[in-house]
Amino acid sequence: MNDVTYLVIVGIGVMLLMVVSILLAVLFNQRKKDQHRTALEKLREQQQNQLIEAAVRSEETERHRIAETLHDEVGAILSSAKLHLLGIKAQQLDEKDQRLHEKGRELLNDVIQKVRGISHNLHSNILKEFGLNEAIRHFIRKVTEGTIITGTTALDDNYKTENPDNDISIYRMLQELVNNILKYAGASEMMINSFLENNELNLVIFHNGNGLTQQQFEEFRFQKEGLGLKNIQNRVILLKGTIHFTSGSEGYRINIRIPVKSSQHE
Amino acid sequence: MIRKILDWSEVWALLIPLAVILWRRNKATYLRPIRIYLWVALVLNTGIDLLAEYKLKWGIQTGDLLWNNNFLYNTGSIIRFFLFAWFFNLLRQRFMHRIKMALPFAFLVFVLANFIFYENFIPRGEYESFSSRLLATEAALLLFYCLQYFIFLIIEDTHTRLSLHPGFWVVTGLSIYVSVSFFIFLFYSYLSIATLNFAVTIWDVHNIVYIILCLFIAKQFYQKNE
Repeated sequence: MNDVTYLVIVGIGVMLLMVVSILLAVLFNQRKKDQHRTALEKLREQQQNQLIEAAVRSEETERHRIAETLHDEVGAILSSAKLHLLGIKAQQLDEKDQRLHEKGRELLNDVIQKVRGISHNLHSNILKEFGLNEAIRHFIRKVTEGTIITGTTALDDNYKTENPDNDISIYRMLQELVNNILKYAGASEMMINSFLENNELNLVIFHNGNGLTQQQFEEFRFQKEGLGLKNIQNRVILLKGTIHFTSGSEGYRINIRIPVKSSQHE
Repeated sequence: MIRKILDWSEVWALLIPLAVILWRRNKATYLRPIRIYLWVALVLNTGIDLLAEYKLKWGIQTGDLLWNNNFLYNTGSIIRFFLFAWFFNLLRQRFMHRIKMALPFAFLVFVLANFIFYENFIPRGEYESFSSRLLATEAALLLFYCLQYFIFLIIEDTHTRLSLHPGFWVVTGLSIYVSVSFFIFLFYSYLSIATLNFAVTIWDVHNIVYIILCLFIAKQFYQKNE
C-alpha cells in the first residue's frame, strides 16, 4: 500500500469521523434543549397551577366573607327589623294599615329566607360538616324545589373526603354547571351520578335539555361572558382532572373525572 | 452481478428518491433544487454509465468527443453545486448568510479560471481523468454548507424535533457523501493512473455513499409533514 492509498483511506476515515462527531454533537445538543424545554414547561405548568389555586382559594375566601356578612350582619339587621315589626300591635291598626303590616311582615320573611339561602349557597358549611355527597343532594333538592325540573341523584357513598379544598372545587363546578342547566338548557329532567373507578371520582351530570357540546365549551370559556366556564376549567386543571361534554339522542351528558387517592377505592 | 449493480448504482439509486417524489408529491419549496438535481443527475449519470459500458460497442475511439465520459462528471459536479447552494439558501437560516450567497459566485469564478487556464472541460485522451480539482473543491464547499447547517442547529433557539428541521435528511446524507468523497475526488486522478485496482475499489466506496445520499434524500421527500 503506497502513501497516497494510505492517505486516501485515512482521509476518508477522518472526514467521516468528523461528520459523525458533528451529527452526534447536534443530537446531544438537541436532547439537552428538549430536557431544558421539558423542565421549563413543567415549571410553567406549576406556576399556572399555583396561580389558579390562588385565584380559586381567594374566590372561596371572598364567598365566605360575603356569606358571613350576609348571615351575621344583614341577617341580624333583618331579624331585628322583623322583631320591631312584630312589636307593633296590629289589632289596634285600622284595616288598611293591618293589611300593610301583614304585607310588610311577609316581605321581610321572604328577604330573610332569601338572604339565608344566598348565605348558605355561598358558604360551604354542609360540605364541611356532611361531605360532598350530602352537599350535592341538598343543593339539587334546593334548586329543583318548586320548579318544573326533576332532579335526581345517585351518588357513590364509598367516596370519602380526603381533601376538603378539592371537594369545595368539585362542589362549585357542579353548582356552576347545574345553574347553567337551569338557566339555559330548558331541561325537564336532570340526573347527577357519581362512582369511583380506577382511583378516579366520576361525576356525571345528565339532562334532557339543550346543553353544551365540547366544542362550544372550548369556545365559550375563552370569551368574556364565559367566566363561569373558565372557572370550571381552572378548577379542573387544579384538580388534575378532565371534563367532557357529550350528547346523544336522550340528552346531554357532562363527565367530570377527578383523581382520588387509591386508599378510597379499596 | 454485484459488479454491475455497483457500476450502475449512480443511476438506479436515483430512482429511489424519484419514486418517492412521484408517490408522496412533496411540494416543499426548499426541496425544488433537489427535485431538479435528481432528474438532471438521472440523465447525466445514465449518459456516464452508458458511455462507460458501450463506447467500444458503439465504435467510439480515442480522441472522439464521447470517448471520455468525464465531461459529464464535470457538468454534473457544477450543476450539483449550484443546485445544492440554492437549496441551502432556500432554507433561510440566518447564519453566514452573505458567505452562503457569495459562494456560488466564487465557485463560478473558480470553474471558469480552472477550465480556461488549467484543465480540459471535455477531456478526450486515454488517461485523462475527471477534474479532481473541480470535484474536490465542490465537495469541500458543500461540506462547508453542511457544517454551517449543523452549527446553526446547535446555536439556534428553537425546539423543533431534529428530524423535522427543513432539509435535515438531505443535509445529513449530503454531509456523509461529501465527507467520504472529498478524498476520493482529490486523489482519483492520481490513483486511476498509479493504482488502477485501488481506484476501482475506492470508486465503489463512492458509489455506496452515493446510494446512502439517495436514501437520505428519499427519506426527506417521504417526510411530508413539514
